[in-house]
Amino acid sequence: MAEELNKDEIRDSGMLELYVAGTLPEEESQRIHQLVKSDPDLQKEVIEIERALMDVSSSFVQQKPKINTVYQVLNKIEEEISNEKGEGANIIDLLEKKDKKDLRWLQIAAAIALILSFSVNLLFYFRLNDQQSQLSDSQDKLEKIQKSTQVLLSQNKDQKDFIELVNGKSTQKVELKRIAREESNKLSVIYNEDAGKIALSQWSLAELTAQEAYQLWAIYGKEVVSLGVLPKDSKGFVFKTLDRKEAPDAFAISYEPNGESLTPTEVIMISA
Amino acid sequence: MISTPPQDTIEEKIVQFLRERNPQAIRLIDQHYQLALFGVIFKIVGIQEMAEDVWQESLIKFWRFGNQYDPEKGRLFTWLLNICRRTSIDKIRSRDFREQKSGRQLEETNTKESTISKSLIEEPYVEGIGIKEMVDKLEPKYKDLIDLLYFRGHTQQEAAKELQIPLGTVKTRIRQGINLLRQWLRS
Repeated sequence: MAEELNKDEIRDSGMLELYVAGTLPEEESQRIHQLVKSDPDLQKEVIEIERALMDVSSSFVQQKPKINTVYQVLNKIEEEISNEKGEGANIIDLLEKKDKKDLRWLQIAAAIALILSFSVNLLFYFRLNDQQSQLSDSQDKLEKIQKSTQVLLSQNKDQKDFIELVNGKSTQKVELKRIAREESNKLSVIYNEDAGKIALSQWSLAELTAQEAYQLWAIYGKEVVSLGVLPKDSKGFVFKTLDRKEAPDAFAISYEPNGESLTPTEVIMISA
Repeated sequence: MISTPPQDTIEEKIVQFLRERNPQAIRLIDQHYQLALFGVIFKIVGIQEMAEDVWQESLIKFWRFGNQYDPEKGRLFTWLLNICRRTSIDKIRSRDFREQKSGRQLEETNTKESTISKSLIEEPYVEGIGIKEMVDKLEPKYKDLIDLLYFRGHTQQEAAKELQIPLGTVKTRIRQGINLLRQWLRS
C-alpha cells in the first residue's frame, strides 16, 4: 500500500507516526522503513516524530530510575559474559595438536583475558558496593526523617490540642499545692469544665525509680477517682477526659511506691 | 558546554555494540533513551518501584536479544519501545503485580506522612513538567489516541474499535496530534 503513495501522501497519511510508534503490521512497517531509508526528507520527518514521541513519554517521568539500576544490569551482563567465556574455555582442550609455542601464547592470552575479566568484575563489584552503601545510607536517612516527622507531627498535634484547651471559654488553671515530700514539686492542671477535659504539661516532680509512680486523682466529695499514672517524661502532654459531668471538688497527686494503685497511697499534692 | 554526538551516530554505535555483544550498548541506551522509555513504562505500570523493575528487565532483554535487532527492518527506538511495552504489559498482567499493587495501596493509605517525606528526599524529575502541560493541553481525542497507540501499543484497528472511529480517522488524528505537539515543542 505504501509503495503506491508518493512522499507527501505518506507523510500526510499518519503512517510514519504509526511506524515510529511500532504499531504497524511487520510487513507494512518494513516497507515504510525502506522508503524512509532511501529518502532524506522522510528520514528527517521520522526523526522529528520520534523526538516528539520521546518528549511526550519523558514528560510522564516523575522520578528517574535509581542510578544503580544500570550498574546492576551491567554486573549481571558481566556474569553472563564470564559464564559464556567459561563454557568457551573447553575449546583449549581441542587444541592439543598445536605446537607448544602456540599453546604457550594461548595460555598467556587466556591468562590476560582472565585477569581482565577479573578486574572488570572487581571494578563493577566496587561500584555496586559503593552504590549499595549510598542506597543504604539514603534509606537510613529516610527512616530517621520519617521517625522524626512522626514525632514532630504527634508533638505538634498535642501542642495544638493543649493550646485549644487553654483557650477554651470555661478553662481554668488549677494549681496543686504540696502537702508531703519534696518542696520543689510543682504541677498544675488545665481544666475545661464544659468539655470535662483536663491537660497537664511541663510538670516538675522529683525523679522516681522505675517501679514507683505518681498518680493523678479527681476528688468528688468523699469519692476518689483515678485519672491514671503520670508518664516519666514530664516534657510531654497528658490529656484526660473525665467520666463524670460534674466538676470535681479537687485534683490530687499521690506517690505510689508500687506503680498504679486503686486508692491513693500517699497524697503529696492537692488543689485548694 | 558539553557537545553531544548526533542521535544517528549514537544509534549506530549502539547497534554496533549490540552486534559485538559489548555491554557499552546498554550503558548508551540507558544514557540516551532512559527517560523516553521509562516514561512509557511508568505510564503503563503506574508505580515507581515496579516501573524500575521493568526498566531493569528491559535492559537485560536489550542485551540478550540485541543481536536480533536488524537495522534493515525498523528503527532502533521502535525496537526498544516494543520490548519495554511488552515487558510492562506482561508485568501488569502478572499475579505478582496485582498482589503487590493491592498491598501497596493499603500501605499508602496507612502511611501518608512517609510518602510526603519520601517525596522530599527523592529528587523528582521536573524537566518534563513543561512538556506534560503541553500534552495535557491536547484535546482528549488526540490524547486518547496517543495513549492507545504509543503507550499501549494497540494496532490502528484495535484503536479504531476502542474509540469507535473509522480507520482513516485514526491515521489522520495521530498525524494531527503529533504535529500539534511538534509545533508546540518547536516554539
